[in-house]
Amino acid sequence: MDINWATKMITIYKTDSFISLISGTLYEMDTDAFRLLLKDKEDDENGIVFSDTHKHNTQVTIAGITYAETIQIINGYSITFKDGQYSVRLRGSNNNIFDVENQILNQNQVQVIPGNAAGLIIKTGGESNDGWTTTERKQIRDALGITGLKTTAVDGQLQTNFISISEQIKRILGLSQENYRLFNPEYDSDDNLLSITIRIYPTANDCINDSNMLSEYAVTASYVDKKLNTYKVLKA
Amino acid sequence: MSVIIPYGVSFSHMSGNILSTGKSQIVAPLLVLAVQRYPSDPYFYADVIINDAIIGSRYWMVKNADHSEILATGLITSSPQVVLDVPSYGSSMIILLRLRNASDTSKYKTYEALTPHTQNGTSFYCSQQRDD
Repeated sequence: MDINWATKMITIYKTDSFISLISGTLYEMDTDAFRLLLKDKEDDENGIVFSDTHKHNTQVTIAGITYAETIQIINGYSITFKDGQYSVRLRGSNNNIFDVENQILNQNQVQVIPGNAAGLIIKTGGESNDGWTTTERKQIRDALGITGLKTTAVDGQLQTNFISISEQIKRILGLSQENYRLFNPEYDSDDNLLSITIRIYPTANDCINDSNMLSEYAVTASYVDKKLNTYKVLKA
Repeated sequence: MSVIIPYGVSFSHMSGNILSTGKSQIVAPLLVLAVQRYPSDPYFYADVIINDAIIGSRYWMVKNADHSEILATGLITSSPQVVLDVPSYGSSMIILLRLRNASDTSKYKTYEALTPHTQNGTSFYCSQQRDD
């Protein structure tokens, strides 16, 4: 491994002590050994003049679970793997060694395979208060196959036409005769019910007082030879 | 006997390590009258004491304002470590001390601290933390 202090470029070779051959063209990089070597070079006569190459947080055990250490290349340093047709798998830490987007990894033919794993993450910023960018939201919608008017999350669910599932559940409860009232029954000459109005309410008190009605339904029926012919329950 | 002091000459720099300053000297026969200070010369020299540093650490001291002047660098060989004759390039100058130690089995985080450099000397008290 070399560090060009002037250009802040760290060059890694397949022959470095922290790189091991797994099979074929696949190599594995011990990231902890790598950062220890970085530190070793930082305290050399040449290196002490320059800013730290990385930030390190050691592994911690919380409530019986050991969380991996983190290694973050900082201060404008970048990493270049000696060019060639091979792959390097990163082992031993959550790190940004593979980060091409933020100019940490100088990309060439070498394929760098990150091993980062996130548990609880803190997300800030983004393009809205929820921290998700427009691109991220689109990715989520695409992954869920969401199109059209399903735009609003209510009670943890994406909804269509802004009708919430909770409202629909309340109606189901109502039609199951919870806080349920009948009005204006009409009968034919044979005392068969021709029509009636159903109203449902959110609470028992509302039901008693006929207030805050959730929904109203018109029930109509017709008869042939004193037998039921049609029967409809229509939401108003 | 009267002594004529040329322009740019100051008696204030005669104390301390006058022979180690590298300043030009106005010399009368057998007598140093004063030392002339050039603009690039340090204001003064004084010792810096580094306390409680891990033996084997490398230290690096620099003028904090712009890191333009490396004041001293070397290895900690004792505790406290006395660094002699550290120059100051201002009447009040802040020194940045950096300590690193990662060549042996035990690794330490980079330690940095600031302190004003005074004519009476300056001390750092260091608390390097492991970075295993």
